[in-house]
Amino acid sequence: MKERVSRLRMKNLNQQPEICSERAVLVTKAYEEFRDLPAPLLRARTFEKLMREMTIYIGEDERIVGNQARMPKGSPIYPEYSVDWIMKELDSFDKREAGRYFISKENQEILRELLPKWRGRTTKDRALAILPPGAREAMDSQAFLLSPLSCGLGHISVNYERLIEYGLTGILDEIRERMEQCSPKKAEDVERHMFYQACQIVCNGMLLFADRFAELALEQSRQSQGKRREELEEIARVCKRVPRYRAETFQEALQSFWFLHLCLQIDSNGHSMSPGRFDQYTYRCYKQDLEAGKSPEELEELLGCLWVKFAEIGKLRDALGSLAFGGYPMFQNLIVGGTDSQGRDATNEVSLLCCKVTAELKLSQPSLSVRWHKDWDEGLKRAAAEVARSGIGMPAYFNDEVIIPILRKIGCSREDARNYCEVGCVEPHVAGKMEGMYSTGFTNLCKILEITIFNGVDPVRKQKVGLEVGEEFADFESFYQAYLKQQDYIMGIHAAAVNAVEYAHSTMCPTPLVSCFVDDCLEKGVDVRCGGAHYNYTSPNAVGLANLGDALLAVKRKVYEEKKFTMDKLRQMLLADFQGYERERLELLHDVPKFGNDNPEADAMTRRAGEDYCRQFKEYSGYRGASFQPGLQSISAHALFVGSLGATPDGRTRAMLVSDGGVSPAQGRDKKGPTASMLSVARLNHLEATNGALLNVKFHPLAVKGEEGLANLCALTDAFFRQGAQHVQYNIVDSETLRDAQVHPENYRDLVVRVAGFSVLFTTLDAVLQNDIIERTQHGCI
Amino acid sequence: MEGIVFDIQRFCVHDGPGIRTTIFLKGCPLHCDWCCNPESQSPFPQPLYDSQKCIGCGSCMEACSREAISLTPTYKIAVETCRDCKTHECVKECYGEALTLAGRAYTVEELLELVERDISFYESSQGGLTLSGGEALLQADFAVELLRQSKERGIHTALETCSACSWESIRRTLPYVDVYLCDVKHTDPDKLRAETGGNATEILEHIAKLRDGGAFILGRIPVIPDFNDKDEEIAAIGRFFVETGILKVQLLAFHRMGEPKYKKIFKERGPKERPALPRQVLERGVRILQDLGLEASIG
Repeated sequence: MKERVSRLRMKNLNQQPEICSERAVLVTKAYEEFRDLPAPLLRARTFEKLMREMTIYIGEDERIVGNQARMPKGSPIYPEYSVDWIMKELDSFDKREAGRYFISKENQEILRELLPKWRGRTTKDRALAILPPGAREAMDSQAFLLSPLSCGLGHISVNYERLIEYGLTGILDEIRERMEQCSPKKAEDVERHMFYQACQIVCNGMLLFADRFAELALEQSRQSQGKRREELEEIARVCKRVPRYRAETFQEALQSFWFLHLCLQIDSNGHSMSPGRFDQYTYRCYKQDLEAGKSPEELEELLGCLWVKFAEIGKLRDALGSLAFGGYPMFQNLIVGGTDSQGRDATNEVSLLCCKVTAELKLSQPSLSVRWHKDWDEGLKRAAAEVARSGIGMPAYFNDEVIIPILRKIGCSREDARNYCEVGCVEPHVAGKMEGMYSTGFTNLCKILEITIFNGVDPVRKQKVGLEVGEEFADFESFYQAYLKQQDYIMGIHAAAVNAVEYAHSTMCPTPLVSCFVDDCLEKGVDVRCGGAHYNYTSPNAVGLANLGDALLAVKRKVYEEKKFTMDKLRQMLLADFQGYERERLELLHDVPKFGNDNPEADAMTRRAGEDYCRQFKEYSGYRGASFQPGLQSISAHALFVGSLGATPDGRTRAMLVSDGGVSPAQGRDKKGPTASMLSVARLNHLEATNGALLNVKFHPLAVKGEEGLANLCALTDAFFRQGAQHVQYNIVDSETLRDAQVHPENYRDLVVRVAGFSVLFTTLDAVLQNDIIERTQHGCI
Repeated sequence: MEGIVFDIQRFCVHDGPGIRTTIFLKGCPLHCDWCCNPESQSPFPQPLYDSQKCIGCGSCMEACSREAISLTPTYKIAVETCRDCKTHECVKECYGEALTLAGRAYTVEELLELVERDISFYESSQGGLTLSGGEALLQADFAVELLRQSKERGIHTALETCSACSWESIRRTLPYVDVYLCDVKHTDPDKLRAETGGNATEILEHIAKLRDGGAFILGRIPVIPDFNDKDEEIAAIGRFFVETGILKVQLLAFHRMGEPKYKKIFKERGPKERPALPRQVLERGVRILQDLGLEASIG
């Protein structure tokens, strides 16, 4: 690693996340200044004001420039989405265990004064006001988690290529042409005209922002000497050129990319803004630079500089959100490899370089992913395995042979499907063409089972939340049908709640900036939030599938087949959290096969439950004319449900977490090694899980040691994917190290681990998630 | 045909090439006192007791028709009484998995079905089946049949053997084994007999004959402190490998991971106290073997 990058990296690791109030101040002023404007123009003017007035800086050693807040790792405040929790937690951000943030006294006072003005005026307030009946009860019981309530929606990969290839001038030309075709005399053109105006304003805002950096660089260069002076002059030149025009050098491509990627996250605080197929759209410039005689080392340094910038982006979450998304993750998913639109392998030097830089820097951002297919590039295969072995939980491997058919199935063209990337953790996506509403939220499957067993009542909160489906059932099948009925009821509420949230966002916080970079928004003259995208989906996710499958099989075996317990007895044991029923608990836990052991019966039950979940949700339709496309991924939401979920029939006590990942077997229950657990996972219906299916596998470093170990790791992925699985990611770090890091966090500041679809610094996680990662089955060297 | 198996492990990556399934057959002619699988030594199935997992419910005691189990003053199984038990009701009743059974009868077909489950992983990694023990060849008929049928189905096979069994039983495996993993613990007959009960002359002779028969052999030396960790002892084993034409050799480090198992099978005596094995001894061992012209590594 170059010294400069190493310095930037250390600085980043030593930096404490901090709350920055500047954006909140500017946005509050903007909303007063432009209060007469309709939402699209209000949003555009607000963004423009930020571009014009926010503090900018160029840090020492930086070659790629652009900051989100006044300080690196600063998290701005986005009061237009919600303020209630910020006011409530203002004094505890610097004290809480998960996702701690420093905040200065001054910033605290500024926010204390300013935030109350937003009460009743946020998207959250509006969404809450129009929630469907039953939603509050279901949410209080955590039957589902409505994750997008408090922030921007994020979760998209825009068309970065368009910016790199055409520059903002190209896009402004298109806007102008389309605007000219609008006639204010036609009623239907009123909104379109306004939309184009908004797009113009945001593009010009970005130009202004870049110009400010050019000026700042020039100013700093005058006070600098030697090499740094030249670098600053070059930064000034680059910022004058991009994002205005087509990028011609690698630095220009990276800088142009970064301006857009950054501005998206200044405009809104939705996470999972994903770079997508970065190796594809930066390659032209990389190649041009090489041909012009630049050295690969120099270009690698530039990439390293950009990687550190990724790690500077921040997002303040509420206390609950910090538990669900432990470790400050931003889910900036950057994918390399895969095929081109014609189906040929598209790996290039930048794909390999991304792997190399990720393995060397060991930062938690960006989230590196690789695309796997039968004839994938041997060099990339190896580079990816090296990253995996470095122990940072990256890359996430994705299977082209399953994901491309999935996208075809939900209506994407062959070319688009082949060009897929991933958003956030494991959400299949066509960059620049799709709005997938990936922050739809999470279904707590075990909670639905619980309220089925207790006939519509949540036994933990002692409140009615579901349907009365009866207490006694003739056989297991009747019981299961009652479960599905209950699930459908909760889904219906969830779907309506998400649509309410989307309504609030589309009417109050449309996103002209995103819309400029998503087909067919400009063509239609419709914002992405209102259905402008070419492809529209709504994508909820299931949490705790393995526990649900295990619990269902336990009920089937012990209640209906062996008749060891009556339903009444089962209820009694669950209510008692198995206190006084330890032998019975162990019987449910150990005398019934469990998912993850290559046991056909257990796997079939889990498959059935997963399939039914996906099929049922697909019956609903979403905002923007979207269809629901469910996924089997829990991110770290499983950690959130601890406490609100009672004991379950799989022998899980109340204090135990439900399974992690999405399709991972429940913690510690897969006892036959990774091949058996992978075969179980591959048996699920991955084609139905159209929004992704996430598997975490943990290895002891000795299991993948040496050349043979590396080959075995590759072989494991190959065989798993040939069985038809979607995704896998490896955590290769030994439990002893993790335990030691709990005791001596100061020695492990750069220890990155995989939580679910994302990697974070281990020491920034709270104890619950830390222990969860340690307890996941570790496949050793046998 | 049935064989007694005490363990089946999938995703084994250190017992032969690639990703493998290792089947451990029960019973061993040697009784090395550092053995990390003491339950492998007796040919009979036997329960393993884990006090950590026991909730003291007493179901095992009630289930045992031979009254071999007592809970007080401490949990104990009368090993002699339960030796030839066929039913092991105690294990079935233990939902806590505090009692597990080491040693279950399997047919060749059952094992092949299990082995074939990971066939896609063998294919992608050039792995396969490893037969281990105890000493697999104490159940020679069964072992040969399992190996033969595996080869028939195109599965790569490895056999781990201590060679302390009849030459005839070893010879019969020759057509069906792709790679042998052969242990040599000592070249000095007196020393080997004292610590393991094995006959060094016979063992070395078997390995040499196996080599002459055209077998591909990976040599292995478990390095045990106070037994064979001196330079000249390692060198002597190395010279044997050179003379025999076995060029790939692994040094395996002594460890204590098996110690808790002695208590689990109610052995009165645990393994002998030994000093820890410094990493340098292994590294020096590798150099000694390399100097002899061997391709040596730490396994």
